[in-house]
Amino acid sequence: MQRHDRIIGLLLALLGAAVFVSARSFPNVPGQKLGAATLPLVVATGLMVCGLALVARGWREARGVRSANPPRDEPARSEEHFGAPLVILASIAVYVALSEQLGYLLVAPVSLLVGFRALRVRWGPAIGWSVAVTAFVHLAFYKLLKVPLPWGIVHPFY
Amino acid sequence: MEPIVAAFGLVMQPYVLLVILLSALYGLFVGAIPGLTATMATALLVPITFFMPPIPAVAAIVTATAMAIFAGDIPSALLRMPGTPASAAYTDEAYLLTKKGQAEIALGSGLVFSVLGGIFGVAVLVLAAPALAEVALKFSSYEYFWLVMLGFTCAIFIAGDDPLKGVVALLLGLLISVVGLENPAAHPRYTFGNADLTGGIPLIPLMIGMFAISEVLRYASQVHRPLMATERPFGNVFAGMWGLIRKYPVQLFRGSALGTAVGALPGAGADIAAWMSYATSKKFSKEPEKFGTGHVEGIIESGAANNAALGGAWIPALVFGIPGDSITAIAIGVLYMKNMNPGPTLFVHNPQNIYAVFIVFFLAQLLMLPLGWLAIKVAKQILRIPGDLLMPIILLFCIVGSFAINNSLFGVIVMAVSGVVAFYMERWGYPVAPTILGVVLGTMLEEHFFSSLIKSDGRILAFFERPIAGVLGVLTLAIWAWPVLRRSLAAGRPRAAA
Repeated sequence: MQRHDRIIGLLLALLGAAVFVSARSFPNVPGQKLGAATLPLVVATGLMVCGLALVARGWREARGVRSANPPRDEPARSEEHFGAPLVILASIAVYVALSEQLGYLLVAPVSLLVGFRALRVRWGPAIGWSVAVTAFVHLAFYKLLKVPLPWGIVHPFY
Repeated sequence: MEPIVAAFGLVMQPYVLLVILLSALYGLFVGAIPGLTATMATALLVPITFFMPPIPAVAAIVTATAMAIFAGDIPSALLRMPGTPASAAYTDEAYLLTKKGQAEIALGSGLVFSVLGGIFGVAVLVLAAPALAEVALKFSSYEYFWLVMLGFTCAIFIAGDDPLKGVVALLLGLLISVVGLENPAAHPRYTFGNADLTGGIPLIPLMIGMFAISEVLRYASQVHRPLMATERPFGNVFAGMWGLIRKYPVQLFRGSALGTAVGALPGAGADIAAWMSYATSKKFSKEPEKFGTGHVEGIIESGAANNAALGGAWIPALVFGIPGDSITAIAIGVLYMKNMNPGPTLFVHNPQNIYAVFIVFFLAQLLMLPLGWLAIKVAKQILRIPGDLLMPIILLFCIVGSFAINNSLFGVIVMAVSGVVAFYMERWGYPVAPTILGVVLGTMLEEHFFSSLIKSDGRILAFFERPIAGVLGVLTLAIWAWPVLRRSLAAGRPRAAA
């Protein structure tokens, strides 16, 4: 946690600095000394201060209590894995990249199938559910709620 | 009287009643499945409510969340997994009760005291909100500025145990709110020449990402298959409840009152209300040694508190447009989309709408008894539905829902990015509630700050000159100064303990 704190603190301070530098060029409200830059500058200053405070706290804790306290956030980690979440994110990316060109009806089942397989659903049910859920969402959102889900290369058949 | 009659007319329509019934079933289902939260239920509902008139839209959210917070108790008792974070405080207690062969008491007290706590919260909402609105009508930009600041302060100091990380979370939220054209100088800030960004980061896809996608990712990253605590069919869950009400009236009242108050504070919602009430219950109990062994007292107090918090959270949301919890943060977004902008004028110009919301609240609590009973009956079947199947389906709903808000893939991208951000924030101990508050209230803060400044011709002292603004301002500053003051006081004392 302390290492996380230090890295994140540093990144936050850098983000704050970037916001600070870029916000200074924002114009003022006509007739006022303040304007579009005010809130970003306050936020940027806050981020820099908090970021550095996190770094400082991380250092202090790392030096002070390392021997006394065992790391407290690690034990649960062994039961986690990051493959599945990454594949899930990939399935969103696939949808964003391809749905306009290929159409919802082609891309949604693929995204679903990728998601099911990432969570180790067997192929049979995974394929069945992918098709069924795609059709259900199409009916609910396209037909009922009139959301213009993209057709892509599949031309409307009704 | 007339607006109340009109309100009944708005609610007692087949369409609205059907929406209430369906969202009740939906809320019970979502709440009962571990990993699906009440806030997620709300976020997923929004794309659907988008296409409804205002009253059924709000009714759907109110009903679904009330049901979800109760239903979260069911897997607590049966699987030792809270269905929603609001049940986490007493999950062990409920599970141990079930293990002792008292599943009926665990589930029944969850249901009955949820309903009673919920009714208490709604009663306070109904009494307090119109009275507060009267006062709020006189508020100017100074008061609103301090109310927003006080909201941020509460979210940081009450909602999280690490104020520094709370401040960071809030600043990130404010930074998100800064994006776009909507600012005093109407200058495009951080839009990078992107047309989608000139309108700002869309709120609803952001919420869907932070509350639904992050949960899907969390589920996918975990390996666990909990065991059902009991396989026998349940008896009458209402048996013995009257006895419990007579035995623990103080606990019921204390939990409901604390829950409503915590709910009304911005940034703190049902989950924190339950934790605080459980701790209070143990502290004042005559038998504190029984806590943690399957004792019903804590379940009663915190079970009432988390449902009471829902009503409480709507008080600042309806009166000031300041959300009391994450659910009302989303609901406020819905109200704005429906041109039902929250604020005291809503009580003056459209009182029938407000009364309709109140009626829906009561209906939802009353519906909870029969439907909750039904949910407990079929709980074991619901809990057997594998999450592996549910999560990708939820994911597709999130994608299509985020798309539907503006019919643009930009919403889907915002959803995915904020999902990842919220996932890591939770992992690294940064509370999400202050971020949401920052996003929702950032524009309001800036607007009131600038109109106050222009009115006072740049004088900062003017922020304290009106009586209510002065009190709110001093209170806010005092809360910020307190940790520093306490530390310096502690440093002044001799260090005997060390």
